Amino acid sequence: MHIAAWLGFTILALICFGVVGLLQKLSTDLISAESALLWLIAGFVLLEPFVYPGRSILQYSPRSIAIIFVAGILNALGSWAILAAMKSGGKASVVVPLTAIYPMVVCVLGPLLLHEHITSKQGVGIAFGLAAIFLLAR
Amino acid sequence: MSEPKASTFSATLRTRWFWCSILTILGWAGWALLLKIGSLEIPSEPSLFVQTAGMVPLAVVLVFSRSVRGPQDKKGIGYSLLNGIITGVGIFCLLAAYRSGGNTSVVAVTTALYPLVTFALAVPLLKEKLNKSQIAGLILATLSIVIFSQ
Repeated sequence: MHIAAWLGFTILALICFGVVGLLQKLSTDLISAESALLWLIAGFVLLEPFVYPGRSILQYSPRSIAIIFVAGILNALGSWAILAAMKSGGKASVVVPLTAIYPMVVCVLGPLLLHEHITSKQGVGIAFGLAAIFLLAR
Repeated sequence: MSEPKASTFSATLRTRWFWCSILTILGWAGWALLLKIGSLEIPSEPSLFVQTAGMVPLAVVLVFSRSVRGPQDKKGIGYSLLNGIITGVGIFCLLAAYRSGGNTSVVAVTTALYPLVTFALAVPLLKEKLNKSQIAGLILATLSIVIFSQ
């Protein structure tokens, strides 16, 4: 059976992101959320050589680099919070879908910060997201 | 007799895990917004490098934190390290899927289904159980994520 390369990579990405939720719960059952975050960052750092841009990074504006740098800090903050949620007794099968709806906030803030418009389809997505928060918390 | 649903919800509002989850939503929403702005100029791979560099100062602070001192469970450390590596590998696979000719919408929607994979693994391996409301919530959350990933 032949599987197209893009489909193989897509399925692999799906499995990786799904397995991560399980590992978050398994790790916080044994160590603190802070320790889990520290080693998670270490895991990320191990992959840095594969994306090392060399001197080409200097061609980008300091403003864009600073924005992406702060994005990394917020990513770490979000990662700490999800680990803390699991450490405090949140189930992986509840916390993972609950936190996965973060694009809803991006969609709500988009018109304010990026001058984007909310389409009717995205409006449905926001309604589903809000209902999901309510139902997952029951 | 089971508790009324409304009181279950209000009880959840008093839990730490719920508010930590909300903080995750806000943190990752900020991350996604800034990434959207920054990616107008910086492509994915250098962006990944800079993002990880942004996480390092927090790691340095954590090294001096009380909660990471003392004896640590090696298995827990292993799971966390694997967590970081697998997240990174997942991102590489995502980028490779886009590069090898995958339709952007199909790739984005398919990978957005990851909470279902976590659910499918957590039920047998962690013995987690969801009530009917939470299963409905899982489905709605997945639909919402699929809509936003298009």
